[in-house]
Amino acid sequence: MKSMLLKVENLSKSYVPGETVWNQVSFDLGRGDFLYILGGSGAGKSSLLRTIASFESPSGGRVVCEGVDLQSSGRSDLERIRKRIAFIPQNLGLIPDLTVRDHLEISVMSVRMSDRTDETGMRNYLSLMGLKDKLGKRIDSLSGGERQRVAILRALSRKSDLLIADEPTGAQDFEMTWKLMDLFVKLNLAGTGLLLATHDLEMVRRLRKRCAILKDGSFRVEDRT
Amino acid sequence: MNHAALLMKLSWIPFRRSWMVLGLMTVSLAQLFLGVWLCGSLLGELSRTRQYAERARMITLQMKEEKSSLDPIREVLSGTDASIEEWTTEETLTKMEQEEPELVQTVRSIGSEGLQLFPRLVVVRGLVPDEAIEKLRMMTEIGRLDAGPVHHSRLLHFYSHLELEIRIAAVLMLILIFVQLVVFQRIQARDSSEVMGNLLAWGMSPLRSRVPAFFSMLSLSLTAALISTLEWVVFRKWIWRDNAFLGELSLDGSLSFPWTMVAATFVVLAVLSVILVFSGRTAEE
Repeated sequence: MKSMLLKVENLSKSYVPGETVWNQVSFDLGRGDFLYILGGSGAGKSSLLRTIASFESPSGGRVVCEGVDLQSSGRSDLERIRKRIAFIPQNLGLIPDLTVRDHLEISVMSVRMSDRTDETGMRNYLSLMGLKDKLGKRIDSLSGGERQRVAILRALSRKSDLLIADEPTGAQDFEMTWKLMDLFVKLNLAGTGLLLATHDLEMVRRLRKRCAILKDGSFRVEDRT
Repeated sequence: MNHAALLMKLSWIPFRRSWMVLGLMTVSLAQLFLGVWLCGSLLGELSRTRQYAERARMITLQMKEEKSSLDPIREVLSGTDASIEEWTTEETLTKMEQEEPELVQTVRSIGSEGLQLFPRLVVVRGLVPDEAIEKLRMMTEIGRLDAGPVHHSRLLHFYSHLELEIRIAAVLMLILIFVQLVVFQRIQARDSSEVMGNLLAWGMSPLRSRVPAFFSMLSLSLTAALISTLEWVVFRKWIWRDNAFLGELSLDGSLSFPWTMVAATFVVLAVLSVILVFSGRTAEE
């Protein structure tokens, strides 16, 4: 039996009283599980992922990550959980003035050496993503696609059991998209739980993974495996 | 790059993005520091001068012998803040000429015998303790000793008022420094929240994630302090060059660097920076 990584129960969100963005969101994600969240633009995928990753508070329901209830946990538990989650936000969360290397250093600053991806692994990621020569470059000198890959690389710079990515291939060309998807699948097969938001139906169809549809505020999980 | 260097790099982001505004702010903060330090030095000097003006005495010693040495007197007064001035008979007559012209004329008309009758005077001015005066009184070389306070009441009044005005000016400048820091915090808020959000997202504690913003504020203060120290060194003599017109009651011509004031400024700035940066909670926290 797979060990549980994430348990989402009756999660709901509303920014304006009476208007819910999404409602009754419930699902489980175990080690080695893959779940797509499919939805159109403005469906609330990003806010759902940010809430699950503990960067926003839900209006109702709860998120339990590795046995810790994120809504009632203390600061230290929250910090510990954030260290365990690799999160790639849609806005990428990069600082334009810093270099690629600075971003990689920031992401591993607060974790132990044993929780960092080893040098060989990082070299492989760098060459796969075509960022080998870009380590010393400032973010504001990179293209949109390169910036997105830096955000992915930063998330992968530490060993995490759970990877949450918000449209991680939206700015990539066809070839790079499938290289990255191939990498995600490999990580998934190695035991990483993956939660990926996308509006790319073709990708969901090709990979045949478990998929949740977020539409008009309702959330429905379908198994396409 | 180690963690401290990286945090420093993060703290320089606001300066890179808004270099013009923050550069001007640093220069203006430097002028305020300089102003506060000048006020501090002035207060120190005024206090010393006021003490002198309040306690200074003028002692007139009539020497028995025309040729007796002044060394014993100098010995008694060594270690005190007092000046010794010897008036020869001729100098005494010249100084008396305006007030007592007839007497002076009579003495001169008698000739050398008359001049011998006139006493040789030694004038001591400054802070002389009672014990020293008693010792002088006991000296056999001294025929007569008159001691009295030097009256500087108008100057004392002026100095005490000046002290009050300088204090008010210093407080106003400290308020302006605080305002500058608040404005700086507002300017860097957007940049620092971006940095903080990033650090929090990667599992850093809220306290550590605010360190770059704290470093930014300290960098601003330190750079401003360096500029004002440089200005102090370069312009000190120019500022004080015409201040010797009051003699002993003048403020010192070579103003000393106000280390206490500078240290106090930094303690206050560090405390204010801590309050401004570490208070409140953000959405991410």
